[in-house]
Amino acid sequence: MTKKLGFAAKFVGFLVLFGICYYVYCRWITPKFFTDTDWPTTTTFAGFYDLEKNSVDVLFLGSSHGVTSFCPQEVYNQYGITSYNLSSDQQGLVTSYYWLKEALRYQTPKAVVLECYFCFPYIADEPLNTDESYTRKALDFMRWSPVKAEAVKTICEIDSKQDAWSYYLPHLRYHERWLWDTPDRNDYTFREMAGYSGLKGYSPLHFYLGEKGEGFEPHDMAAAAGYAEMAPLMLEYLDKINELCRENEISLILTITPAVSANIDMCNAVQAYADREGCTFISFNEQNVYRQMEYQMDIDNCDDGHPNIWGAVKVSGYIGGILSEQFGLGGRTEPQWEETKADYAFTLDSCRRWHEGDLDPYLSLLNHEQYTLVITYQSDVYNLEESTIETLRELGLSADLTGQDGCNYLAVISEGKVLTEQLTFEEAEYQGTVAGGRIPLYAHCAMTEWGSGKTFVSFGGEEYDSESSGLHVVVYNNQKRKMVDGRWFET
Amino acid sequence: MTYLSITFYLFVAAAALFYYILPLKYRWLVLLFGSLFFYWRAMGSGAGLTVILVTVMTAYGAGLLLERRKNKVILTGAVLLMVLPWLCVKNGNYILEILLHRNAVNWIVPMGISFYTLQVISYLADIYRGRIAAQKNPARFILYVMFFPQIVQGPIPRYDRLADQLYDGHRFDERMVAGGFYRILWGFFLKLMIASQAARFVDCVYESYQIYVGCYVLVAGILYSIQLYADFAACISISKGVANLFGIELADNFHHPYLAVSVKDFWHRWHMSLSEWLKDYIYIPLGGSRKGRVRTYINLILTFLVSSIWHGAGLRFLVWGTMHAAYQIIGDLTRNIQRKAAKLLRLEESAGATLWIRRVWTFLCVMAAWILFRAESLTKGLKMLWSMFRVRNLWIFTNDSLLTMGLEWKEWVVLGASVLILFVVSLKQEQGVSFSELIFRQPLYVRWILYLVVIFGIMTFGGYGQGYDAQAFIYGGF
Repeated sequence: MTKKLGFAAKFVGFLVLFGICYYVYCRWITPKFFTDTDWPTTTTFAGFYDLEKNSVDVLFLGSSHGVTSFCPQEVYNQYGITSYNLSSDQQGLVTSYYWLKEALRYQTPKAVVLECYFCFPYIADEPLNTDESYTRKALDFMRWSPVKAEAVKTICEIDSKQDAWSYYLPHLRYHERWLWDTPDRNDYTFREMAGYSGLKGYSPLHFYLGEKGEGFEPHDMAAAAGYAEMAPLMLEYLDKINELCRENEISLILTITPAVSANIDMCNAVQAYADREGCTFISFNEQNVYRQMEYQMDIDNCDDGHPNIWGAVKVSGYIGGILSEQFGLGGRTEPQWEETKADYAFTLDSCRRWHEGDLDPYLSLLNHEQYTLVITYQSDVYNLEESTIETLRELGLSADLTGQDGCNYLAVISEGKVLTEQLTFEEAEYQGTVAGGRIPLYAHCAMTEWGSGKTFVSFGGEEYDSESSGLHVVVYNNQKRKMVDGRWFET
Repeated sequence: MTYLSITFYLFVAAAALFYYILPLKYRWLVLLFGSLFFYWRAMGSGAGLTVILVTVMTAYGAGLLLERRKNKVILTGAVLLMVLPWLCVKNGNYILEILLHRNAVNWIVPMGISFYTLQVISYLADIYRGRIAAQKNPARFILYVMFFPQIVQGPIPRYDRLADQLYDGHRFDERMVAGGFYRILWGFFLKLMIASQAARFVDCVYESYQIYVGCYVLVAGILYSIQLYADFAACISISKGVANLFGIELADNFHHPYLAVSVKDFWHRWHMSLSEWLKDYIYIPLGGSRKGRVRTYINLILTFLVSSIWHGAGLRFLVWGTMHAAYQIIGDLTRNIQRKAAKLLRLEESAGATLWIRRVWTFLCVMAAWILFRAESLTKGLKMLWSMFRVRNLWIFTNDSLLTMGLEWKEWVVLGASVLILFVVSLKQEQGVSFSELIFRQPLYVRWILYLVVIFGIMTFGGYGQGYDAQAFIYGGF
């Protein structure tokens, strides 16, 4: 008996040790999608759990159309409405339903805004209307509870290709991460990244649709009578979402966000559903709404399906107005949303930065603590304009850059502090670390033997290399731990 | 439920717990009900269970009858009754489709039919020969045939070696249980790190055998030889490991077959439980080597033909078996020439170089036969084999051709390292090193670290999940 008990104790001890190792291992191998990617699903879902209980008035749900359309910070800034966006790319209605169910364990929203693009067949031969990998992306970071267990059971019943065990034991799904060509970055601890974006689930895009959007005609709902057919499973879960909202006395608002790919028949079908069920439906492609928002598909959309950040500002402003006027929400001052105002302002500036071609406004968009900036300047004739020198001063730089012909200038600014500023006829060089000491930085500028300037910057292996005289600005985002821009301005 | 599934190990854990809680004399009941439950769950329906139970009960009745009257007619009738379901299931459709050009029948295929058929035949033959007494308790006989760790792929047990182990309750033995755990881990290593990985390349070559010729076939042949061994040995290792958890020692089935120095030696090391069965119930009853050289060769050919038919229907299996018989006959006929050649080349019989030359030669002979064995048909197999000699495409080893066929370079590295580990372990075991003893002697923390490294290594680098068919074992299909 003693032998048996001794063995049992060792067995249990080993199981505990194994369990701890396994937990850490799975956290490590499960792919994470933080704000260094376009679709930061992990940040969205992990960030949701960081919210104070019962602090959210509105939840946004849907697919990528929803992620890029509804910006909770914009809604808050304009109307004082606290909201969170629980959408993710290719998120079908099954996943949205379970995320709503999960969200109701923590929050008591007054309204749910559901983006309905995924009510219609998207990947017809996929039982869940979406790829397995996207369902995983949306569910992997839902906390374990009876809701998640039910979600896993349902998903695996609907999609026989999926294995329920792989949700409980993630190594079954992700053990091959070492083979992936572009392994996701694992150098962040989970908690560190969860709150990084400060965008409450919104994902900003910054490109312009351009020509493809110029001919877009907003829908005249009265003129057309076609009805697109919803995917049966999606309709079933739309009903469930509707029922869940009713049970919890939540107003359900259905939407189709601005998209060239969303046709009028889709909008009619959702309108018919909304009329039948007594919900509100807003089609952002409908001509009155579209014009009221002053939406321009070519510059407010990123592609044919997703608004860019300027489009999202308009959509969020519009939905905020509806939520405020028709549902009586808003007027709150909530610290969790106040704290992230600066993050949102930074996001807006970083999106503007992509389109800014002039030196002075470009430099002024870089005045954020999230950045590390490496600025080099080499020229036979130092002829920076006064306004540029003034903008550099606003960044904290003090060197006198007038009349220093043939010099090498190198400045490094990180988290608002000037780490080095060198103006020398010798080679200028800097070695240090940024992003909390985690990322090594090496910057070097010199004149080549044939008289042109040479700038080399490396942020932990990400390199910028140029042999052009003029002003070089290399921008590193300390939070995303990514080199986000490298520009050369001829002066 | 398969030997690689999580549910199987939950089931084993529960069964082991009950086994050691119950009083000694009732412990066999846990194994009985566990075996019935496993069979039912693994088959996914009651039909297969019904077929095996009918076969088992028939064998049970025949055993009692044979004990009373040791009559050759009763034995022959009983053996035919045992063989009939196997013949229908394994060869019926080949006969119907290929030979009679009729539609195939959707037979109920009970799991492990090829293995338990031989098991019950040996039981009946041993009663007839008076070597064993018939089992009077039908429940105990069911347990003997259906013992869950061995039912899928053997090893094919003998009643006199296994039965008492099953019926006598075993006291808890930590060393035995720990040994079982190592064997299970080793089984997972063989299956997931070697067999599953090699299968991807092998399948790729065999699926497009018209494109992949010459050296591709050579690589596929080598890898298939390794895959088949690793796959089968994995299942046996897991079977033995699980049996160890209940204090039961199953028969050995492999003894480093690719270290064999002749084809005859190979069959003493490969699928030993089948080889012994064939020797005891086919070769020796036919006269063995007692009736002159010609009869010996005929007996050898007949024994290998039975082995071929047991492995499956089709000409390729017959040719495979005949090749092995031919290897042995040629080996025997040319023994003097071999000795003279060795003398001429100044190669001593016991020298290391001689040993390795013979090992490599034996491996190549066995591999050539495996190439036919794995092919979909004899014609395809022969074409592949011929292309190995006809096409000279050595360049595949110097460019990245091999990296585009199911395995990328990182997986080749893992596979290569795993095969190297298998090779080194085999060599050490051949020299008498017992790794389980070696591990058991280590301090607890060393063992725990080792277990964790092995478990997480297999979990990370093993071939399972999407794109793999790691749940099925090759010999389970025979």
